[in-house]
Amino acid sequence: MHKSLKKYFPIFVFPVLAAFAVSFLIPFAAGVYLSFTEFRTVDTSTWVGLDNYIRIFTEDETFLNALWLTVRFTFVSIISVNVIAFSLALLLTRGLKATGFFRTVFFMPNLIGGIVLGHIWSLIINGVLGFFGVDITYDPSYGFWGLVVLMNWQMIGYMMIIYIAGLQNIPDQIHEAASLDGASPAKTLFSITIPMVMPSVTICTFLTLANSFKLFDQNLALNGKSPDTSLLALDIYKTFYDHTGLRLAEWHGTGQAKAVIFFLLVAVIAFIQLRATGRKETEH
Amino acid sequence: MAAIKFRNVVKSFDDGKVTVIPDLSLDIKDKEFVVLVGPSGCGKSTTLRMIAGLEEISGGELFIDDKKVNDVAPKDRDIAMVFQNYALYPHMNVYKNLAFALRLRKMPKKEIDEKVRWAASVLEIEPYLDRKPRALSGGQRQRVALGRAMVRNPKVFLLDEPLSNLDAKLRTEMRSQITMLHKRLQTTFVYVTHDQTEAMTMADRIVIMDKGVVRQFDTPQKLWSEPADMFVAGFIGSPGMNFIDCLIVRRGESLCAEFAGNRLRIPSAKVKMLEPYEGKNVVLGIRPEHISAYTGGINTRESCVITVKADIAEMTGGDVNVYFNLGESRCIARIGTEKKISAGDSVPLLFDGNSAHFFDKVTSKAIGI
Amino acid sequence: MKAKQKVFNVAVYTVLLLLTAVFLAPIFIILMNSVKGNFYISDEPFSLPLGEKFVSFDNFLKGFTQSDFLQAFMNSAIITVLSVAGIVVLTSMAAWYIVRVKNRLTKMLYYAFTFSMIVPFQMVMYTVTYLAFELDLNSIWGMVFLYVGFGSGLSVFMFSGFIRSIPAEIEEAAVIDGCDPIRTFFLIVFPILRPTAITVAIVDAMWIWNDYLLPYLILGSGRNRTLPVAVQMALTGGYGNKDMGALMAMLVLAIVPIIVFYLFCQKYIIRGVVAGAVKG
Repeated sequence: MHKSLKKYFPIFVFPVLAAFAVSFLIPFAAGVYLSFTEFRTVDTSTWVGLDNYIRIFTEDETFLNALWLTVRFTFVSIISVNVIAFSLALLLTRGLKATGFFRTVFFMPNLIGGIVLGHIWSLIINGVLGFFGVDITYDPSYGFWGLVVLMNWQMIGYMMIIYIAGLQNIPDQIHEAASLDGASPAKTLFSITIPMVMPSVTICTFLTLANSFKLFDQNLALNGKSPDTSLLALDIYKTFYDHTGLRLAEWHGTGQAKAVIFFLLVAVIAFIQLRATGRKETEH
Repeated sequence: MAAIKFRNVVKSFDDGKVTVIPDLSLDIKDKEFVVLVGPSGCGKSTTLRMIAGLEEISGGELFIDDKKVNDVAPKDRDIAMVFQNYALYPHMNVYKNLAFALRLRKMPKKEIDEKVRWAASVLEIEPYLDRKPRALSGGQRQRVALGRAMVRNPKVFLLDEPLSNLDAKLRTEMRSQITMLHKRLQTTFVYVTHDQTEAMTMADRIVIMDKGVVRQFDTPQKLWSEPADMFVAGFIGSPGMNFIDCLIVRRGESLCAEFAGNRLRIPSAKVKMLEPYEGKNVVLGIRPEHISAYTGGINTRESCVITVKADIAEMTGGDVNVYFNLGESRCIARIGTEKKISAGDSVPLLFDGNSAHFFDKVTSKAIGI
Repeated sequence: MKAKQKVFNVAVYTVLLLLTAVFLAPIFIILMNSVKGNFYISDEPFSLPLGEKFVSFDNFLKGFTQSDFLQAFMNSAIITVLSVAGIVVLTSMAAWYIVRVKNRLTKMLYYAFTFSMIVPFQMVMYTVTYLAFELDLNSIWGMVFLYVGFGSGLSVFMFSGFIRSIPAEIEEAAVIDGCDPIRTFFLIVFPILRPTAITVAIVDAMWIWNDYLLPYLILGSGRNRTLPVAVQMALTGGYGNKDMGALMAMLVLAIVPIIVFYLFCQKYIIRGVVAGAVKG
């Protein structure tokens, strides 16, 4: 197969490779390069070394704010989404009737796109705040907690499904053995069930982490108009597209430098995840 | 209906860094059932895959029916192959699996149907034509794989360890079925296995390979009675031949082999070949079947009786395998069950000198062949 | 014991039903407002569409006509279908080649595809937009081409994993039966890949149908705009009084296809989305 297939590179690989080059390989390389330049458009770039990176931490006031907001948002999301999703999974694996219906309902929000989702919640949150005569832009913490609620609504069902799969993988005998040993339900939960679903916990933690960290559409739709509630992805977007005028070239370079830092942060997370899941897999 | 010729064929991988077959020449006759046998990694599967065209030939020439096929694509070689794990197409039912190759060749539907039904009836898989492979047992899948090769009516039938995934009972059954199939189809069969019993029972001729080299290519009978070297002698037979270091000496009129304080007179037929080795060490080979329990009967000139201490006595049904040490050699005798033997017993054994083999200690080749 | 169990079950069902209400409420509120008059949507968003507040399907009619909703819907549908088909067919072909032809190039390609999965979109946002305009890819077909590129990382990764588990002997049997590589792939390998192909198709369909930023940057808010772009434009763009009723109707219409799709292929979607997540 090897030999005869080898000649078919143009048919089998080239189409994807061309698309991949245009949408990833070239833009990625160009993106790294441009982060060290000032540019109005890609073909008018001038090398400025680390100026863009320095500007992020000196002149630009939004990046560190966005980073801190993203970290807080990610942290709160991981905790709330996983605790609620895991509790739901526990309730839905007790052999009750109609669990299929509940699963269907809880999972559904996950499929609705971020933009639509953001606007639905924008309407609801502004509707509630309307009773007090304010809206979501009134206080940054409204925007923050609005995002947390939205994230929970979207991600809980998803994580619940993964936890259910993990819980169903635990052999029944283990629970039976624990109850024969006289373990209380709480004891069983903490010393048997949770340790046994640690692989699912790891997966869900990193999924929530990645999804929260990279959140964009929901953020744009819900908090697009309010200042001080931009997460990293939205902050980068605004750095590129909200600046106009004379210093556009500088801000383009800065935006690209932010994107590189953003990429490095995500890469570190992915690397830690790889190590974490890799180790877990050998343990089990 | 084809003869297969290998002429100095070389096979190497990784741009010549690893050579698995250094120089292979082989003549497989038309309609012959040839089995390639040897330990894993000996190059037998690679050899088969070169005939199929699945492996490129790095050097030398390969002929099928006097046509050089080095650069001929597998589909143009008119061969069919049965794989170890059956390699059935999982998404097609049995009928479509059998018909696939014929449909690719644009054979008329009616003709395809006839061929498929013919193969299915020969192999007794007619009731399963509508089933997918995963709904079949191992033996049924194996027969579908054979059927897929049969319908093609190929010049050469290649089989790569086709029975190794079956249980022992089924294996014996399929063995005779494949032999019958060969008789019926009248085509060249090349069959790869690591199981010497399969080789001995099915083959017209057997190729014994080791480390990419053909050690012997002969009929099963010849391999048993006249092994070309110690590797072949040890590989054929179960348990394998015993090897005992011995010294060739002349005692009076006759030439003898001395080992561990015992003496065996060289049979007259072998005296001439062993004379040059007088005073030298050679390896005496004797099959477990040629060592019997000594019951005090007549001892011929070319036998000797040695009393050994049995370490283990293994009951195998009709026989007992007795393990013992002779000098530095670990030996096995296969003897009848008339006398009960337990571990630790002293057992007098009769070594049949007429069935003994002698090998050169340096080259490990059989002396006199 | 029995009675205690019963009380417990009732408690569990109560909690679950309350949560169901919470989960469904947002959708219900949108649905409710989509049949209310403009004034009542912004003033009384949580009141039921009764009496004078009820305007029947006027909002939907307006939603359809005013914002060229149908055009955006069709654009999204065409882009999603073509892109998903392109991704599934082309990346499975590439993955097969990469797994079966082992050399330095295919190894590097595999690493490049895998690597692309962890790179956030913002990293290439500006440069890919620039390149797309340079290459005149700012069209429906160009969008499909870009989606094949963006989708290739995850799907090459998923297909490769599955192809490695297919015994090469099946493909060799096909070669001996008379297949060239193209037939081997389409007659034998691709049908075997079906479960993974379904997973990839679902994950990518959801992503592309809902994707906002890439089509916004490439296709803009003009004639070629997709549904999420149309929704975003309608709800944030422009000044002055917005027709809230029409906007509610749009949100409903944007959700309905997904929910219908979900209810019909729920089993595949849940399995697909989870498999995609766990592997990615």
